[in-house]
Amino acid sequence: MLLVFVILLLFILLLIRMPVGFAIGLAGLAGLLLHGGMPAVLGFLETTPHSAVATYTLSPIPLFILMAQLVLQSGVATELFDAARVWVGRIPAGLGVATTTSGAAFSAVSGSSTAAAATLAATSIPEMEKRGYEPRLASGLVAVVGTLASMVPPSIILVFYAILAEESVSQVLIAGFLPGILVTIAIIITTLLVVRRKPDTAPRGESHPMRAKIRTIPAIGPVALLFVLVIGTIYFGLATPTEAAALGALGALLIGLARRRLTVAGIRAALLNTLKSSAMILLIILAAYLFGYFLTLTEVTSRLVESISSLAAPPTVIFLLIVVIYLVLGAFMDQIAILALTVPVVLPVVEELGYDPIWFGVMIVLIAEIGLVTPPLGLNVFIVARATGRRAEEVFRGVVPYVGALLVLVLVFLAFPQLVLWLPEMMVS
Amino acid sequence: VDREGPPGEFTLIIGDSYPTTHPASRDGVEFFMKRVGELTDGRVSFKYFPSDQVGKAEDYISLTRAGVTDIGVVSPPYLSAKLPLSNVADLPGMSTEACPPARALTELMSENGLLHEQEYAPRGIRMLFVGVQPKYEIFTGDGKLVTEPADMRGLLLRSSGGVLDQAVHRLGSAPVSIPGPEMYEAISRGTVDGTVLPTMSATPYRLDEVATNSTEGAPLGSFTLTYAISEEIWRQLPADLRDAVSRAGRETTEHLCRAIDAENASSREQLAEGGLTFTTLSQEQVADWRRAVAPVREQWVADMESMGRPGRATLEAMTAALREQSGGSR
Amino acid sequence: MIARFERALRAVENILVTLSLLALVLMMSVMVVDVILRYLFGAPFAWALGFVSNYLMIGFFFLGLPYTMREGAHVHIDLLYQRLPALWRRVCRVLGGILGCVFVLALGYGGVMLTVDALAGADRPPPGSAELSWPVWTSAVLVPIGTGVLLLRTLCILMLGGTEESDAEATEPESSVSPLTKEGH
Ligand code: NA
Ligand code: NA
Repeated sequence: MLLVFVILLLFILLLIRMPVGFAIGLAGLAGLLLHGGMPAVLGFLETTPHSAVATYTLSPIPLFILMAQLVLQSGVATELFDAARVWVGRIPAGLGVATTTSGAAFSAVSGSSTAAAATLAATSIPEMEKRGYEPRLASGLVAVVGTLASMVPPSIILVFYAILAEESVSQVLIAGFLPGILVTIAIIITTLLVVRRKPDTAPRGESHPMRAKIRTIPAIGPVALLFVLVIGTIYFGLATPTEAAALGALGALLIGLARRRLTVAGIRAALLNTLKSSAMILLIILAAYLFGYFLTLTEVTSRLVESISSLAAPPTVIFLLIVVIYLVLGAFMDQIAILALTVPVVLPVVEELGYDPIWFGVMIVLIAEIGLVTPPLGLNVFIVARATGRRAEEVFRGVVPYVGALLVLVLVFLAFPQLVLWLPEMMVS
Repeated sequence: VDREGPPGEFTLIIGDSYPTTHPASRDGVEFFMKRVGELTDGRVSFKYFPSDQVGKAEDYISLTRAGVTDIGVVSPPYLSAKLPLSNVADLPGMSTEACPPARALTELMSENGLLHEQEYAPRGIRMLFVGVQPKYEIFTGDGKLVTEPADMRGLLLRSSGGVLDQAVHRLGSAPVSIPGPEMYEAISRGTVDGTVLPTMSATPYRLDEVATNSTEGAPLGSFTLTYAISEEIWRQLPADLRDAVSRAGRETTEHLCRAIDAENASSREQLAEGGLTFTTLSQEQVADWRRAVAPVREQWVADMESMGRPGRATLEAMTAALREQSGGSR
Repeated sequence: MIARFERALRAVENILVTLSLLALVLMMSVMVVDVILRYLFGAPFAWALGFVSNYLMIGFFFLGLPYTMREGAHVHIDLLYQRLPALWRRVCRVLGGILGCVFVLALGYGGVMLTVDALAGADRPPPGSAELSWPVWTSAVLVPIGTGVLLLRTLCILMLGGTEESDAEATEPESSVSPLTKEGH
């Protein structure tokens, strides 16, 4: 009864447009008050806000965001797109393929899907529309490509998952690499299939001489350098993820300064934007702890785990059921909030079913990516819709074939978990 | 406390940060709950939340005093800002077994004991049972062999902080702070040369896969964990229940220390099977280590006194209690 | 009156946000120097982990919080709100504003308790250990400072009739406002 009331309260608070962090925190406090009385509320209020934030393992989050912001302020995103456009040349749907590859490259320095979608929307959609791309295809593609940023390392959401799952942040981050490449390939293939069926939705690319191709190398350099600096450092264990993130942020700053792209105003904007994104994420994390303690004390968590693991169905079926639940949640809620509220409950079940926790992290991110582009709450879609002045419904329709491709990948990773686990296992052997 | 239910019956909430496979949970809390149930004919029952479910390790002292949990894990090494003196049993060279220091601490942390008066009572909590994880050893990767204190010079060692860092530092190594779950790769990739851990803690981190060598018998220190009840709840319990709970606590301390020794032994076997080479230190070597770490205890006393806390008296009380224990048990 | 109060509040927030960004820059610098020291001299900062957690993460988040609220950086769901008539929107804003104040007040009260506790117990890691031997209250107090100013900001937003006005301001792509949500990550 209490649980139903508190979850209902949470939804009402969300619907009256309270910030997500406030809504989760307040619902959690209300639950704690009704369940354990004032002492419980005061006890958690004293300890939780400070100890939730004073967490060393969370520090890669602001540092990875800072790195991406500094790269953005240096104007690298546009250069990457131009470089990709020149290199893909005269292939079918050339600009679309260029958008995907440059988006994947940008993902290698950006840990946040929405930032990536906003950037790509600004750099590549105008160019695609100018060349006669169907707006639905162009905007749908960009919304999906943006989600790559949370799969290809570094990834904010994978860092957070690792902390919740008490798994090594390094291994979880590295695990996203191969799936990230496969998602990129899946997006390209989907684009080519769509264009083959309706050739008038996207023209071929233009050919460029070798000279032009070579001229773009300096633009690719900084991103490649940063990726090697951060992910190489993590893969070879030269530094902890926090240290690697700090090195990446400093590297982005130095590259921007060396190429005379970063102004004082640009650095200031990067710092402030980092604060805004990080504060939002950390507030949700803090609030989710309060809500999570309520769930634990009422023993909802343990009862749910018991009842799911006592279901007499094969693990794959139960797992697919979990996938469906995540898809539904992804349609309504913020990704960080979903993770914070569900991983402590769901991971024990998943482990009991015999699945690997690192593999599950990558799966959740893939499913969360799908949530980012499906209605009614598809953050990436709204960002692209706003940036291009299109209606969200139109973008949602453009996304449909890609969602199909991502769902196929979910099944592929379910069938071949080694695709996810091979790199992190290599890393420690 | 669960305020519902028939009069005279109590449901106490226990919270801690250990997974259910850890001796503190399995042979500490579970055993304690069972014994209390038996001794009170079920008048006291429990709700138990292990594995950080309602807070982080360092939060339970506040959560217990505030009444969120009635009994919580209170580990002095994580709380050196609040309970600095209670780290006394963890100082290097104190003991390499689990039972004697646990019994000695029971004396110091019980009513009228020095640590109870100095640290537990002022925080509104009361110790129920205590466990000491002894045998911090040096685990190294890449074939590095440590047998003499001099071998420690220039090593980068992952260490969990507190007094242990001081011992590591004193021996010429640099303590590196790396979160537990990152330790595996840090050693595997050579980010650090190794780590300092109780043998039993090396198994869950699968150190046998990445470390190659371990000392055996280095008198480096221990890790104290206690479970404490909120004083307010304690006062609400009728005298007969208090007696039963106290007795269950003392029995748990005895049971837990044996379980910890057994866990250390089986961990050692498991690690050795996994390919880790243990090098048993000779008596002369152990004596060398003892001499090398002795200044850490004096430094600790000086640090405590500089903060206005009775470091000298605590160290002496602990040493005396330990001597009594080893005298009494042999 | 409110305008004057708002100006003063803004000035305070700007000071706090400067400190918050300083913490961010320090976080980056401390970690980089730590890596360099480890590789070149085999002698990293033993205090890095505690300093980053207890001072830099805490300072960065809590001191920056009021500014991020002022800038409307916190994601919310507009699913229903967008379809409501003006009067009901106003009800939502006022109700949400009041409840927001309640939540922030609760956080602030917890912060005060944490600080008072640390002061009363004279909590401080012993000197000579790996952690910085700074009194614990110096870290704890950042919670009530940040949430105290945040409370003033949420009150201010409530008095000005909710965040609707500030919605139109966001211009950069990173804080792009969508029809249904605002500012993601
Ligand atoms: Na990324
Ligand atoms: Na969605």
